[in-house]
Amino acid sequence: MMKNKSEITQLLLRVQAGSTKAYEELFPLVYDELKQLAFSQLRSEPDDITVTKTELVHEVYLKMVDQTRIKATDKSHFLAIASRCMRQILVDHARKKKAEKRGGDQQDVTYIDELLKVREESGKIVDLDEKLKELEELEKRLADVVTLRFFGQMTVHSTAEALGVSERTVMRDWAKARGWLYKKLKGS
Amino acid sequence: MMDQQRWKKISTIIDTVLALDKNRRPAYIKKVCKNNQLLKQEITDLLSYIEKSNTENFLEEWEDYPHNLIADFSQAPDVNPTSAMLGQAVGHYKIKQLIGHGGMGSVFLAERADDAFNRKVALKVLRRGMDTPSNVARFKRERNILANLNHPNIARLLDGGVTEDGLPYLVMEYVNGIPLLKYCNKHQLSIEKRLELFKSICNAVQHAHRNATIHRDLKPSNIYVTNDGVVKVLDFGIAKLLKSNTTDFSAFKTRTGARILTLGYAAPEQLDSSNTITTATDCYTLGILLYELLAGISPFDLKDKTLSKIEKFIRIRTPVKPSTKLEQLTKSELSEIANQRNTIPSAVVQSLSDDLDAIIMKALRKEPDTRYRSVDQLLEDFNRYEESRPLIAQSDTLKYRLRKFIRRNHRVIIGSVSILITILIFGGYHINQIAKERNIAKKEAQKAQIVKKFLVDIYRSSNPQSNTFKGKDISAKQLLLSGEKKIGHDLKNQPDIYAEVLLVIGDAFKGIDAFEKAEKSYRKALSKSSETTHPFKNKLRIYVKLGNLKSKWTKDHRALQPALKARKLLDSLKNPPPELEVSVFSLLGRVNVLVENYEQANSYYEKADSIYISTGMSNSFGYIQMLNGYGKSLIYTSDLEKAEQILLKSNALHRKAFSTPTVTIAKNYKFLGWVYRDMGNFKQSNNYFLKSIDLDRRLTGKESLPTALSMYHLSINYTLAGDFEKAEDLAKKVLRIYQKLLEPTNDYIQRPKKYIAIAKYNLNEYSEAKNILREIIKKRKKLRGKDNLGLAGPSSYLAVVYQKTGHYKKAISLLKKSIRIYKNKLGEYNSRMGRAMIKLATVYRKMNEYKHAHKYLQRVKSIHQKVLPHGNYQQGDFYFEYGKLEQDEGKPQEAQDFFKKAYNIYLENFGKDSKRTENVELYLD
Repeated sequence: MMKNKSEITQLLLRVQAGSTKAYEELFPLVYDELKQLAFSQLRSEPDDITVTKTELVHEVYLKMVDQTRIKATDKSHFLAIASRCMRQILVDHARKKKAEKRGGDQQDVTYIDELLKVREESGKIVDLDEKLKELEELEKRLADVVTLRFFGQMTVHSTAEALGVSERTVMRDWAKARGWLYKKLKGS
Repeated sequence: MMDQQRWKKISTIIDTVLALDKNRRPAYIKKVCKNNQLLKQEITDLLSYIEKSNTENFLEEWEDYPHNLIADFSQAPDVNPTSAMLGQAVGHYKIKQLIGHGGMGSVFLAERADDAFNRKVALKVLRRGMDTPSNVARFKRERNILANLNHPNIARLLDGGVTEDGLPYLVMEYVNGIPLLKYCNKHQLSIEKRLELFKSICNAVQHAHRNATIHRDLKPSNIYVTNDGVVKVLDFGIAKLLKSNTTDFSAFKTRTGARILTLGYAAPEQLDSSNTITTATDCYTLGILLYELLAGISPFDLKDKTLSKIEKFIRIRTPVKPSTKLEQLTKSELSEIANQRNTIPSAVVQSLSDDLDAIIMKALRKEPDTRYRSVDQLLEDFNRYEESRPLIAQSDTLKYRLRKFIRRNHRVIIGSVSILITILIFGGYHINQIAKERNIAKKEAQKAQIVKKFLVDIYRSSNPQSNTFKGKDISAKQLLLSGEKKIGHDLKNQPDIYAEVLLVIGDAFKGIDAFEKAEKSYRKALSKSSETTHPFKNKLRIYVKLGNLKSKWTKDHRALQPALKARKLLDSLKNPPPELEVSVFSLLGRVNVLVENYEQANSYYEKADSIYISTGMSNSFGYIQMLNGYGKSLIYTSDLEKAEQILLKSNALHRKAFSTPTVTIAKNYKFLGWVYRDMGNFKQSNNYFLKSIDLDRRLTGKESLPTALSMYHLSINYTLAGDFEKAEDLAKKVLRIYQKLLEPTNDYIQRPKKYIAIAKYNLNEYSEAKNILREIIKKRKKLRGKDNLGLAGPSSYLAVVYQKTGHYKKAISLLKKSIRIYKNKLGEYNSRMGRAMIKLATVYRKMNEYKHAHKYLQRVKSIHQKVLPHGNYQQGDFYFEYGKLEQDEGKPQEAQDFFKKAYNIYLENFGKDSKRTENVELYLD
């Protein structure tokens, strides 16, 4: 890791203060870190339902940020960034998967079942991303809520903090966004 | 696409609506929308979707989250912490550099740290992040498997362990070389040299199989060749141990390893739900490997195909032959391939054609049990290829295709009919014509559908075994004929296939009793046989078929000629395969029975039997049929116990092998009935005859030859039991059927006549009886000569009629003649001769020539002692006659003794109510 925890934390604080430059610096760092983590906790063991959802962004948070120096609200902001990173990473990878026409490189070992699932999931993620972009045009916050809550698996509380709205607003936003997305993705 | 303004409005309204109670919502919506229908529509719409998404927990469920995508992501090559491992020490080894990545881990080049020679090894480590319990288990299993395998062509396991970080690793022999295909192309290896390498691979796989391991993932990238030209098979990573001695891993559910595979090399069974992996699976992959190795192209074009299409290809689509595929390439492509094989383009195609093509195609069959069963078989075919001997692969291609067809149309019950249709299809007969003739809707013109219906029609409307087929389904025959013509045209240049097809057509004709046509087809095949690859063997086969055909058709000496020819050919072959041997011996047995050389027949059957048993073919249908024939022959020579034994064996084998009855078992029942009758066990005898009648009716119809035969035998039983009216009735039915279905010269027609005659003279209709019997004798003399066995019986009965009408001299001469025939044909001691002698004794008695009567009765006694089981009804006849003799000689006491004995025997055999028993009773005091 290029920067150590304290430097990262600094960046974060500056982001909080409103620095877009800091944001631009921080985003790729988080992105890389998330990738580096190899998402080891989210291996899809079919029997292993004990893996909880929320650990991922938290893990990267723990890894990158010096918790002693920031407030809870800062944490939420970080998590929001991490969530956006997650979305980016997943969508990028899903696009890549969709572009792969063959059943994986013939040379490499591939898990057939998982391959089919991966294919399916990729399609869904790419579609979701596209619709979210549409939703952003209509009402940005709705899309944000989905990004944070779905891609980042953040709690209602954290989301509210990160976005600076009430929890009730988050709930309503979540409901509306999901309704709209449901119609676009699954509706007639 | 909505605009922001509009959306804002909707959004705000929704906010309020969501805050309301459900039952207050409609009113509010109505109010706020006023007259704007469109708005109301949109609001309601969105609301319903919100509810739906809520009920279904859209985006909130565990399943919605793309875990597999993430897992896949985490395996991407750019996410690799393994670089951290370079320079590290693992066990006794120091990691030098990264060799490559696999799905589950990485392979490093390492050196033994304390080794003076700095020996290089390959170190395979499970990657951090992939160390799930099931992967670890798999790793451990690979270690176990490799530990068992010790072969020069398999990369050897040297060591194993767990790193400090807790990751399992394997240390293997470092293979300094390049992948197989690269190696072969780089060194421009010829086809022969490539084949040599391939054989080493086979040896390696063979070794693994012998150690109860199936590789499951044999592909070119798993096979390397060292600089010295030694082949090494790597990566038994997903190999499976055949025996489940993996008790320590049973706790972990193996992610059914079959799902991990390289698609291009996957065998069909690895992709379907059955998922039964056997050694044949590896054989398939070896086939793909061989295909690519020799032809330089892959059998399936899987590029740019979707996953489901790929699966379909592998599971269903038959690959094109290598040589054919090569011919479809562009000139430059083919040149390239030829170059890599150090030869010219035409030579590549040539060397693959026929033999290697056949081997590869057999290895690539979809059904595992039609491929090479084991690597042993595959290697065997390579040997044969090199020695220019016929391949296993070639011999069953036609059969394989036919079998496939028959399997697809599983409603087909009768083999010969299905073959008939196969020929039509195979011969390319136009389905449309069949459709028109059968009035089947055009939309059902799918081949399989048409054929199925056609078959069902045929089955329903006809009996392939009986001649009613002749009348009702002329079209079938005609179709067969025109099919034959077309086939002749199409197959002019393929003598092997043409001959084979002709044989199958012949069989089909035989199956519908079109005997002349069958013979014609067979003889045509015979003429083509000299052009085939194995002229002698094929000629032999055809003569056997002709022999069997004639046996069934003419039932006389005309079957001898082809049989003898077959025998001659068999003698000229050096190492005849056992299947051919037994077919010839069985035929000779059958034919000898027809010409009444029963002893000879028995010895042939004996021979056939021992060959069947010693070569392990005792489960074949041919064996069951042969046993039937043997049993029948034994009945003629009065070897009743052996006959019973043999026939029961045939019966048992048949039941084991077939769940549905066949004409063969119907025959078997008949013979068993016959045996039991001769043994005197009438209960069993009638039982079996009735069974056979019932079965024959079901299989071939009420008025068919087999049914008639069964009824004939039952009528004999009735005759013996004294139920003359029943007997006559039944015999008349039989006669009618025979006259309808058989040629007038066929001897079978005479048989029921005899029993009609017997019934008649027992009912005192002497002149009728006389006429019938005379007729029989005349006919038989004409057809078969003065000394044939068939004359003895009717002559004996005619003699009885003469005796009853007082013409003793005539009677005696006839009986003496019969006795002579019996002796010549059946030997010194046979029960039929005994029966004739009893009749002769009766005549002498009636003439008061008691001395002669005694003489003959004594001889009967010794015959009975020799060949009859105790208590047989014929002994009853003996005692009865003896009693009458004693009585006529004025010895009432002795007479009574004999009468009693006779009575008891008849009682045992026929029961109290039988006329026969009652007859004796009249004589008792």
